[in-house]
Amino acid sequence: MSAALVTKNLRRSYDEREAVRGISLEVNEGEIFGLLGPNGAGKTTTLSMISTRIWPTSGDAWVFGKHVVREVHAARRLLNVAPQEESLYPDLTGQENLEFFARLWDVPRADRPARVEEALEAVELSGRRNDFVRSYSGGMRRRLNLGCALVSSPRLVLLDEPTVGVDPQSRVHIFQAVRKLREQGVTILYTTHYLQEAEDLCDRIAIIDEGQVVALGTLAELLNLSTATEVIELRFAEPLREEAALAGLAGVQRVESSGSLVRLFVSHAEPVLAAVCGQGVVKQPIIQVRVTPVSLETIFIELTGKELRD
Amino acid sequence: MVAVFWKDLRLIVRDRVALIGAMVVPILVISLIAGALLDNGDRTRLLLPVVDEDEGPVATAFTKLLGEHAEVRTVSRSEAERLVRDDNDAAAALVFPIGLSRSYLQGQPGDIELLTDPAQAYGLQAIRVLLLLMDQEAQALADPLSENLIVVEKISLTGSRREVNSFDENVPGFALLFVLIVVIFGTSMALHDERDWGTLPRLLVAPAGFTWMVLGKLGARFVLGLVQMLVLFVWAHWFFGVSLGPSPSALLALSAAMVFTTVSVGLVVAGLARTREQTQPLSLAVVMLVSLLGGLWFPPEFVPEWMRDVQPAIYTSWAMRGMNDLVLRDRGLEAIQGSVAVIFGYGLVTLVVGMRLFRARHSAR
Repeated sequence: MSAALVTKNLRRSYDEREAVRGISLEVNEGEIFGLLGPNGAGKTTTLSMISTRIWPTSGDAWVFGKHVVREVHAARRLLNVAPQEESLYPDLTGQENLEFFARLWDVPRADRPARVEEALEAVELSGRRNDFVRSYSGGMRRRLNLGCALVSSPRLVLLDEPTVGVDPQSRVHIFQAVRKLREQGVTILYTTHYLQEAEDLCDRIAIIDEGQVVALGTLAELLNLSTATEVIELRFAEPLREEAALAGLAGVQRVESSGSLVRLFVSHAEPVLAAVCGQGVVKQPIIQVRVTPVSLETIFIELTGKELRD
Repeated sequence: MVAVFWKDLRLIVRDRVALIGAMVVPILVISLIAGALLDNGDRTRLLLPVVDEDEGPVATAFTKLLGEHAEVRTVSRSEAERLVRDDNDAAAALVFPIGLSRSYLQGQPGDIELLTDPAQAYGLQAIRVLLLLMDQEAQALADPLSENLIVVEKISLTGSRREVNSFDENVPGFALLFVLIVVIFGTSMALHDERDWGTLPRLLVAPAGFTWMVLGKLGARFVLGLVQMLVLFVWAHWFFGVSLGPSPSALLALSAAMVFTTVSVGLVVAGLARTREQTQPLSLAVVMLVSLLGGLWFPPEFVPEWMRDVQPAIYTSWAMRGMNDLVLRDRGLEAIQGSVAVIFGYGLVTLVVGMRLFRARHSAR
């Protein structure tokens, strides 16, 4: 399998602040590769460097073997990007937007109608093709934003948080379009801070925090990174004062507390629950108990020490 | 570049209200201004109240002579004072005192009173000139046998036209001013529109590259500005008889150079301004500066010397010079080649500067 995208020690600084601190990735052709991280983790900056929008302060990136700085025009012909912000002309129709971006990416005149048609169908906007974009709903605009990235038939599509602020129906349309692209062999680099999206869509995921990759692999590989298999969530009436008592229990790998919520990362939940609830290890009253298997969120919290919320 | 050019042109044409406004508003405003300044013999004549306390032949003769050049109104002294002091309808009133005719006919000097409103400086100057004329003509009347030895014949050295009207004088300057407004505001705002719509990041990663993308956008603005300028001139020619000179190609060359440079100035403004809110006052400041210093508001003879010294550095002064050659002096392409070259050179330098500024601001390299 050949590499669609390779980055080596990519770095980008803004004045004194280093937004990306040495990211190295290898994305295979035809896979959906997720960049998962909280806001400000460096996902968009990484995407901007790969898309040639900004130059790396140091490090290298190649798109299908074309260097993003030294062979910028060749690299640009192989990729397209759907920016996080809507990137559309409100006073053009949906079809006119697509035609413009097709022309901008040098799609041959003879191929343009078919490409525009394909893009409209991919994002399910054929019925609104002749309406001005200013009359579209937010979700429709996000779909057209994605369509504009597809109209040049790129081999690598960079999708920057494509479902932020999107209604559930449009989200489903976007997921369908992304999966269809994978079926067609298109490589997708997908940034998100939605855990569920990363779990459902991505073949492989890189977890990014503070400009660095902290873990990379398939969902199964990432889940195996945790020594725990289950998480017990205990909610108390008030913040817990006896955390040390819980941490000392057999089978508890780690304890995290946030206000009145305490999470116990355990290898097996049952004996720990018995100890907590039956033997009175904690004197404070427990008002809620929840047991969940280890998830990507659990891994993320374990690796970064922070929560990833929508 | 072509794709961006056509897309921008389509957006411009689609906003019909703005497009019609860009064409019609300058026509209306220039009509009003030129009409207000119209000087084809039917301008309201200078009002000169005269108080004839002399009631003799000299005062009567003087009043008749003045009446050939001004609207003389014989009134009482109190009425004259009211017209000058209270109503400010006249810059001055002339009082022929009792005994003026007697002393004048005896060859003795006589005093004439001039009741003035110093705030009306231009009117006062004009009345002083009238009094000199009156004195000259009175001397001729006093010696009817003297021959007029000097006859003045007007010979135009600069072109074939001997008389120009208010439209000839004013339309080129105001046309250039409106092109400045529409093109500088339009260009700078159009570039910021791309950022506001979020389309700039996508344009910046298009295979065509940054320079061609910007040139495509400038091209659309250039076409709009050129069409606007030519529409203004054609309208002025058809409706007000303004001369467009003997050479259409000269008019086209000068207009193209002017609009090209103005588009480049708009790019500089877009490059300097970080936000849309910064763009508007900056555009306005640039329009005011280059139009005032470039002589679009006043003829060169009306401006102070320092401003005349500065004018060669302002491209609009070269445009005005060229326009005056075409419109007022009926000269052709040969006469304006120098002006066109200077304006075009100015435009090229400005384009490079603007491109660098805009790139530094937006391409985030």
